[in-house]
Amino acid sequence: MKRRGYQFLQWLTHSSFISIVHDTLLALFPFALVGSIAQMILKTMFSEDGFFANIFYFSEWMPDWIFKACQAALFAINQVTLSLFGLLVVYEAAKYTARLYHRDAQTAGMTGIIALLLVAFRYDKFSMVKGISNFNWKLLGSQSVLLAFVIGYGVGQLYRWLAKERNYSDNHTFISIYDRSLLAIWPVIIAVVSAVVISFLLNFSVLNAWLRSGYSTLINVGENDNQLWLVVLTKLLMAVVDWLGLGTANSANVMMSGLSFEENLNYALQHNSCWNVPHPLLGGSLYNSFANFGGHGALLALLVAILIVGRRRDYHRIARWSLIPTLFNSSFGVMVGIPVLMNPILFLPAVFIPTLNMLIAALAITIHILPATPYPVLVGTPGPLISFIATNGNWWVLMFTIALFILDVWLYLPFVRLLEKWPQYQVKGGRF
Amino acid sequence: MPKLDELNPRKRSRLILILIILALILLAAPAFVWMRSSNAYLAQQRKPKMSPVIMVPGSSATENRFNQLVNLLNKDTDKKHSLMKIQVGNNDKLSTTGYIHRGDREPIIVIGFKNNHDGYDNIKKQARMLNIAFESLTKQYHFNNFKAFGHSNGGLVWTYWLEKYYSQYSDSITVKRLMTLGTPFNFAEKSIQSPTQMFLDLEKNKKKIPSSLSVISVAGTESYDSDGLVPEESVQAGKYIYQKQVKHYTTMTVTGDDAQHSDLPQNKEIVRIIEQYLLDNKSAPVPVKKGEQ
Repeated sequence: MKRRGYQFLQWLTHSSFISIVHDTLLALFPFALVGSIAQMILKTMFSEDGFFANIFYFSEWMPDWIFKACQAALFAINQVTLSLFGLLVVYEAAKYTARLYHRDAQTAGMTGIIALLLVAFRYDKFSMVKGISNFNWKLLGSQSVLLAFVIGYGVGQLYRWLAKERNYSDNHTFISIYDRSLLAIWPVIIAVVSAVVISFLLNFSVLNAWLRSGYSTLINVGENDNQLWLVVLTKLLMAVVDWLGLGTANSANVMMSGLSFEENLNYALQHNSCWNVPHPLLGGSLYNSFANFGGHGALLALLVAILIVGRRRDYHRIARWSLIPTLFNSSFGVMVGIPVLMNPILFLPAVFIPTLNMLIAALAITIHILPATPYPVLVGTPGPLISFIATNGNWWVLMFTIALFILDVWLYLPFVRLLEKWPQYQVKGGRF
Repeated sequence: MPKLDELNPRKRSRLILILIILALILLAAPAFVWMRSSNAYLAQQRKPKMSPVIMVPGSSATENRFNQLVNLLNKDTDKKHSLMKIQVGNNDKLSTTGYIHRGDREPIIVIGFKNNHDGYDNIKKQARMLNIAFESLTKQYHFNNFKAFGHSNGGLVWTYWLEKYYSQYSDSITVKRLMTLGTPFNFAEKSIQSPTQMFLDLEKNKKKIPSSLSVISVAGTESYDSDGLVPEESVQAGKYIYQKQVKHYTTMTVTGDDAQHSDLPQNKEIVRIIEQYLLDNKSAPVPVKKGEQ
């Protein structure tokens, strides 16, 4: 059984798609990191219910115009890096795919961008009349990474079939500029035509709207007062969607409202106690307090595991860089840097560790050894502190959460070791 | 430094981990303070709390204008309302006399203005001063609803305040009812055909008045068309402002003894109307808790 699993993993990581995903994401780590740092500062410092903005009472002493200016600047960085992340992905993915088959990588990358933009193009009357290009921006962002990968990979394959093999990776070989240009004509034509045909056939904006509404339904079900199994199941599904690169880039905006949440909070405020609230197993509170260690997938635990037992310098450096944003629940940096996105080795822990946390906490709450967590929490509160704040300072809960976190780190350890030993991920640069 | 890293990356990582843990502990302290104060505030706000009646007198009157009215109200009921009077000075300084008894759910707060002259400009000024007093009340007493009462120009000040200032509070404080008494919505004009600037402005901004409000406008008449000072038509002009905007708009006309404009607050009939319509005379309905049905 174990051998089978190992072989399956071997096969997966050997597959050209998965290895291209891996290399692409690694190459894009700096952008994802900058985006997630900007997002972290925006969420924690320059938003009304941000962690730092409140605990240091920014509104009392910071001039409004500084607040507004920083907000605008960080929003811009966040939008351009994360909300257009798909463009970077499609370029790199097409480039690496073409390079894998010794085709012209740069032109393939640019073709990829054109193809993605065509797929995301919004065919509405208004733009036609005014002569403006309008896009379904969601398809270009970090929440549609999978789409960008599929298109980039597809374009790379086009080059494999339609262009000729040249030794582009060797800088000393002279490649005629005519050669490069002329060889790209057919792949570009086919890519453009098929992108348009595909986007007409598959109507991505509708597809995307379905996906979005499906995702928000998941969030709704998962965070309201539903049966525990339903909550856990939806969280599991969301974790899979996130792992596929179709989730939101941040989990910092976990819902902190709704009728059940209010009822819990009212009860706690009236009785000055977190015990016996009307909805002890409220999905949102449960997840936020006990499973949200650095966003979906308890990624803060992964980082700590790497920092403790990791042997490879590159992993250490990536982990150290993404530690701070992940601490404040902006985890896109680590998702791209390690990478976690579409990484077969990390699928199991990233999906099941948060679920396990929720189940343990729900059990402890049900048998009354742990109180519920009804109080409001600021956006970007460090993961291990959330439950403490959400119980109005219950030390026992804090200890329980830290124990849970240590358990998570321990559960991640074997996967970190496996990740480091994995032959496909060993050597960079030399492979192509 | 890179040398340390090359030898053993874990050393440097451990250092950073320890620093992060220290930073987390340091951050926990202000977070703890924030949590306690914010939750205390939330708890304070949700306590079974008071719903004051805030009264504004008309022009030429002081914050003592309603002393007699409050006496009459307290004579009839076994629940005694405490009376607190605030005067807003010309420099926006507040001076308070009287106080709110502990446990009084329905205190009466009178807000008077040192500058109590008539005229539209002055009503705007008074509305601004009312807002200063109101804001300070919201900071001292945690109430999430109140009732407003305005005699004569006091009703204009309230209307102007509702249109211009109330939106600052509307998400946390509800104005349940407004009762105006002999309020000249069109000043001394007898007919709506000759509208004053103030009436036009109030009517123009009527959309800002909360639609959940109930308004009772009471007119007094000595003759058939006036309370001796304010034409009845001018009082009735209020319908152009409130009708079709608020939940209920009720008008009443009181005649007989003490129906003269300045006597209205002492009028027995009006005291009865206040008791019946403005005050929360029934005990507040207790919400049924889930799971206890």
